[in-house]
Amino acid sequence: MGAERAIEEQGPKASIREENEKAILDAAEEVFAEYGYSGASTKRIADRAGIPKANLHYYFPTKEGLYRKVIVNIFNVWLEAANALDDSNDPREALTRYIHTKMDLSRSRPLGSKVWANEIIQRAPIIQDYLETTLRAWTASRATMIQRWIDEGRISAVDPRALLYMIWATTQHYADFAHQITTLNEGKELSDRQWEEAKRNVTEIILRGIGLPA
Amino acid sequence: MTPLRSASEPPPSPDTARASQTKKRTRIQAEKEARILDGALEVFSRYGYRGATVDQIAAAAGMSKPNLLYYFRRKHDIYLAVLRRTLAMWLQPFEEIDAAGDPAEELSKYIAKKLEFSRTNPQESRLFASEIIQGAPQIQGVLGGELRALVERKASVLKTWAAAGKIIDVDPCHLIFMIWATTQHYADFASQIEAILPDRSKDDVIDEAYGPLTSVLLRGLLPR
Repeated sequence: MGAERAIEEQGPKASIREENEKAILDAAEEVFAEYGYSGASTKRIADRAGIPKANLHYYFPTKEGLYRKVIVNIFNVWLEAANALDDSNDPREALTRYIHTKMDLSRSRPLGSKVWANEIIQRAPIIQDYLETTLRAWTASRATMIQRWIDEGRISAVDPRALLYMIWATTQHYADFAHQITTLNEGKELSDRQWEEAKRNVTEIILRGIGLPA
Repeated sequence: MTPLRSASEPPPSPDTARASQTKKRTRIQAEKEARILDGALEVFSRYGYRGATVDQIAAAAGMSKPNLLYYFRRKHDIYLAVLRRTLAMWLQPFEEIDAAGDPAEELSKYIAKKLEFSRTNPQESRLFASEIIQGAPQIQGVLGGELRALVERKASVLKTWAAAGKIIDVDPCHLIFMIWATTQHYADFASQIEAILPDRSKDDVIDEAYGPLTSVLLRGLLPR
């Protein structure tokens, strides 16, 4: 029994599970972004994913659990983007890559960013514990790294957290406020060329702002 | 000029008395409207547009529902008025950016005022952000109309500065977005900021934000 099951789970069943979970999470991201946590129902998410509600509950027993998974997913994607900060010891290269990746994510994953923003705007009723543990610890470690660059005289003195907030606020604005940006752009989404320009401009201002060549 | 204009005005009529009465009523009206909008801000922030009811707003404003309906006919009108008031607050210092002024001074004044609103009116900022995140279902018209016109006007000021070599050559819109995003972050993401550094008071957070924000943005923009 044990061996059979193990084989099954690695086989087609495991990939069906993965596919279903992905379909549910994608649908959940859309629905939570659109309706917020309280306005979203698992019924609506199941409909959007094109599966019966019972199936959804098989994978994600509660709405809260599903919601947390969506939030943690986008957070992990952002964390990965921040690996750029660790991989390079050159502040200019590290920050450029970090800002560029964050901007790219605002274009490719705007919904996750919106779900996150909605949650924070609602004063983080569901993920407060997550902010106070994971996010706080992570921010502290990045701040230490930025402070080291300052101490070594490689960038100008600036409150490291304030610098991180600037990067987060600016890059996520292109996802969270995409609708306003589109409206101000004659009702058209930013073109490839405009996105490149946004990335270039934003990066240039921040890098020059901390005394680095852009 | 003056006589000509007054000649074209309609002759004084009994209407004048009513007009002055209307003016008087306007001040009271403005006060009542402000009370309604303050109450509405609380209710919309808590329950969202869909979840909020006119009854709740009337209760929050401390007036009867018929009285409230005298000022605003529908929930939608109240909501729009709240968001318009927020925009008006934000856009006044934006409007004041003076093409003839010194860019560093003009921009730091604007950033300071914008950041100050995140201290004094964080709830307005968050309600506005929610509306945009949801795709601006209610204020689309305002964004595409007044806001767009103003952004275009101010973008041309920034372009003039760039052309004169007073600031670096960036697309003015991205600069404007950066200022909006980084200042509103201190209202919209206040709960995240608090979770990251719990021992700072709200005022300390804003006080400490001003220096880094202005110095990075200005150093980033001004020619070396």
